[in-house]
Amino acid sequence: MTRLDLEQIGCTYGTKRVLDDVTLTVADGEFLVIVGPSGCGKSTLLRIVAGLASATSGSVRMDGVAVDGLEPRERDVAMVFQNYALYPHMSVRKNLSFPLRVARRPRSEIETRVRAVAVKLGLSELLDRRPAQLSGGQMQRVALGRAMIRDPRVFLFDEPLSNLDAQLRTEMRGEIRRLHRELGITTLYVTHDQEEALTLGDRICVLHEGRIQQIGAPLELYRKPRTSFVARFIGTPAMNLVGGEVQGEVFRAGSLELSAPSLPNGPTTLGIRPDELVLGQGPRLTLVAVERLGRETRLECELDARTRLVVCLPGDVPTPAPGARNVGVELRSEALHWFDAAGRRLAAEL
Amino acid sequence: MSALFLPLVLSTACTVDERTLVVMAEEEQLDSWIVLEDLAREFEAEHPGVHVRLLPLGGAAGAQDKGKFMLAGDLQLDLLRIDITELAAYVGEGALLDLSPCFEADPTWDPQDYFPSVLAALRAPDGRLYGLPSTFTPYVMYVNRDLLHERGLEFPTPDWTWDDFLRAARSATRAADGNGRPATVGISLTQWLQAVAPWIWQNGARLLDDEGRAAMHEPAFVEALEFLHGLLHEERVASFDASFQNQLSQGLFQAGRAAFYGPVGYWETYRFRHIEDFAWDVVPLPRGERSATAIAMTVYVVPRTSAEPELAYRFLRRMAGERYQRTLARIGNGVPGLIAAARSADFLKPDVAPASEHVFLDVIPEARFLPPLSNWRAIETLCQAELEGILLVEDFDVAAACERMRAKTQRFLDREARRRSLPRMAPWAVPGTLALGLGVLVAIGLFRRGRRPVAWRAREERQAYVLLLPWGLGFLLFLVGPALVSLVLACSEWTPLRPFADKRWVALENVTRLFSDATFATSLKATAVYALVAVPLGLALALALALLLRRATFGVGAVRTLAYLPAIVSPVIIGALWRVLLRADDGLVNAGLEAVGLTGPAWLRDPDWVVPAFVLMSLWSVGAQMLVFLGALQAVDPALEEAARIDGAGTWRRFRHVLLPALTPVVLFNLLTGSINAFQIFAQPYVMTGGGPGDASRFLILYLYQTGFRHLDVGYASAIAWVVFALLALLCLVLLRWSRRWVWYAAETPS
Repeated sequence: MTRLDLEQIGCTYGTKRVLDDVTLTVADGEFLVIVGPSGCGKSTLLRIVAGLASATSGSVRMDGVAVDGLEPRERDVAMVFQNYALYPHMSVRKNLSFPLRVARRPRSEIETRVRAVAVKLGLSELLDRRPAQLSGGQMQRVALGRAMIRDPRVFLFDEPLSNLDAQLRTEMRGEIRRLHRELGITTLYVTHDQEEALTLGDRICVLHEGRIQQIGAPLELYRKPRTSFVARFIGTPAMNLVGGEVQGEVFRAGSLELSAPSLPNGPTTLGIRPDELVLGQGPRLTLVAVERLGRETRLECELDARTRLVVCLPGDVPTPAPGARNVGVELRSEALHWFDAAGRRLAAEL
Repeated sequence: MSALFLPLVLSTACTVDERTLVVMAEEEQLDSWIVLEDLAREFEAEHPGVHVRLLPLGGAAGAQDKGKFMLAGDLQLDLLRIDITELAAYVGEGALLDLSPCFEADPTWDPQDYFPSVLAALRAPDGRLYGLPSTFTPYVMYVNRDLLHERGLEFPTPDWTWDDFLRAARSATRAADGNGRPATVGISLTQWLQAVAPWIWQNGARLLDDEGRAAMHEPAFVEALEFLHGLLHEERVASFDASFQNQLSQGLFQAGRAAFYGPVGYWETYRFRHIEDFAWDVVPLPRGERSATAIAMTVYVVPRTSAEPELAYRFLRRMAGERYQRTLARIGNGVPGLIAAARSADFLKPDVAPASEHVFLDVIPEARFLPPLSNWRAIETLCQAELEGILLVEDFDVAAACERMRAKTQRFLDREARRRSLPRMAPWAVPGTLALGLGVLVAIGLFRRGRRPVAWRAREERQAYVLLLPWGLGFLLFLVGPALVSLVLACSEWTPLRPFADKRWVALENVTRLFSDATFATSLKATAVYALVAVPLGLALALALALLLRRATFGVGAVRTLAYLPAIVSPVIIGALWRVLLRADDGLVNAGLEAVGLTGPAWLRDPDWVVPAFVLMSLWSVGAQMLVFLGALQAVDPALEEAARIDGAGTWRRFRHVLLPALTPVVLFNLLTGSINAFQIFAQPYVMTGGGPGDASRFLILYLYQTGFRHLDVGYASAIAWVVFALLALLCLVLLRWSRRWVWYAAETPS
């Protein structure tokens, strides 16, 4: 049972700053997801924790003990790679047992644990196959099995599901969730898929350009994004952001005018989730396109040439035809998010 | 066969109209070439309508082979210079024109003009005369006058004895005195058979007995060689320097560090004229039981196939005439065969060293030619291997070596005798084999093709075959054709001195001969040992280098280039370079060993160290293999290694369980190509040792080359080629079979 602390991790490649002052704590047994677009530094962060890369500054602690400079094997972490990194010339059995064989565990113990893991992951029939003879999902299971077979202190996942098709991904998500519940091992999970992050994480850490944007429970991030980046990144379809200006408690963006009580004057961004919008009284928009997904209906509307808003209506509902003008959209004040010029959340609606 | 020479034939035949005389008598880079050109122009002026075409003799070892292969290829050749030791072979195969009728019809011909013993060597037993001498040289002893004087020794008298020589040699031998004066030796000894022969003859022994049987086992023979062995290893008054085979051993003498140098011929005076540090001269060889010396000579002959025998004879008389012979003498080619030229100031040169040039003439009466055997060079190689053992190895049973020399020579002579009675090969053998081979190819093609394809495919196929035609023709003409011909040759006895049609049928005798051929056994063993050591070591080194150089760190590009560089250098140049690096006394390798307190072996002169020397050299050229490994290493998914690190594997286990399995296909590739290359090692030993010492570095392909192109035993050489091919094919097959157990192919990688 391990608690993982990252303290002011910084990492620079040449002149490029990959990570900047990253500090976070993964509590004992917690499932923490690091999410961010590609290039945000999340994989580097994971590799630093694993010991595959070293930080330029800062420290990694496990149960309070700094592990910087230790080899991966001395940290006792396990990692699942994006492309699974199964040893192609070894059978599934050999792949699973490799960490134990390297650690020179007794043969009988290896045998027992391989069997136990295989049963847990449904690999019992596949033990003598080579990785090339497995499907993507099966390979994923083997990679999981190889990671969990020696009871590591920390699990590290590097985008493990991104090579799978959508259906399998959902299935494996459930599997990983279940395994974590059963094993209760501290887990750090990296993904660029916010939906994966929302469904898997006890907490989520959003990383952008090497900096932590926000750490919190999934719904907290969804409901109260601390920055406009988090606001847009979390949730599908992405939150509508409308750039404008507040003058005397009135927000103006093109033809749009809204009362913005107690907001300071200056450039301000208005954010509103598509599913918080309903048709009704309010600004008049032009309907550009309609997407019918069955479960929901998405309307793409144009306020003016600069500003578009996506409206998400539940179910398959009748809508005006595309091209219709004067479609009224209701902006409920409790659904509005405000961000200042630097993208920081303004506390107006609180 | 003649089809292969077609372009050459055409180019020769195209000089129409005028009569052409093709003369191949000098090497192009020597002074004598210019003189010969003058002679040719003069001859043309006197004979209108005649064009004398001069061809250069090939350099070095090629000099004696070019003419034979021109004859074999039916090229016009009217006058040729050959070595006297080859005369018997040419005569024996009927390759030369009997010039006796021309001499008899020529009023200006007087045999008294030439040294009688020299002319006698040119006569067949029945008295026919086949040519005239160019220049010759008896073997004498070169003397460092100053060194003798310094040691208080008298200059040898012309009738000095072995005992006199031994005494002088002992006094002349001194270790380095520590004040910068180098060690000196009594004699820098020459070691090829013709140079050793005088000692044998002087001791009353002989190479062949009166019945023409090998007589190397006779006590006097053994005794003579024991004397030489003693000079080197008991008295320690003699030395060689430079590398044993290809280098003459005049280095020590030229450096003023040997009192005597020899027995050796006139050609050294040409080189020694540049010596300014000390006075030197020549004396007859010291006499043993009797006086004797050897004699080397080149002669002009007219091939039987000459298109212009009449003109050839006339030009031959010019070349053996006074003006040209005196010119040859003046530029230092040797002793002219023409007495008048030899006694002229052009030869005796009163104003240049050596003062006693007349010694070369004085010893002629006691000088002997080697026995006129039909393939002297083959025997020479057989004997040389044993001679090198006797002279180089301190602890050596001389008598046993002499007996082996006798047995080898006798076996060779027996075969030579039997060769004459072999049946002729049927004329259809070569075309028949070619037709059969092509038939098999066509049959395979048709069989493979199977069902007739639809029309458009057929058209496409035709186009493909048209495009393949240039390559296909080359493949048939230069690969399949010669290979099939060599298959026929492997079952025959043939030498280029005879027309190609005149092959003798020996069935599989060439192959069975291999089993009793000690040289082949040694050669096979040397090659196998070389391959067995060099290939795995090379693989390991290449892999280690690739592992070191795979990470892109500063300067790694330069290091990679340096490591690869030797792989693109010609093996001949590498050989020449390493011959210097591996020199026993002042080579860089031994200097390096000495720096760390080790005494390096004599490498190329030590039978036990010569193969390791070649292994060492081969390791220098692993760049190509390294590059292949490097490429394969960079294709390994880095995540695999990281996964292994996470799984707790250290450096060794990551290499053993992750990298190495991924590399197995290229390990196999390097193993196969490396083994094939190792078995085909040729250029380096050819340049560096010529196969010696003894047969220690006579690797298979070198032996093949020497058998076919030196000893002209083309049938046997072809058999060796096929056996080597079969061995290699077998080896590759075994390696491939074995590889199934450890090679893992990338095609099995998950996508």
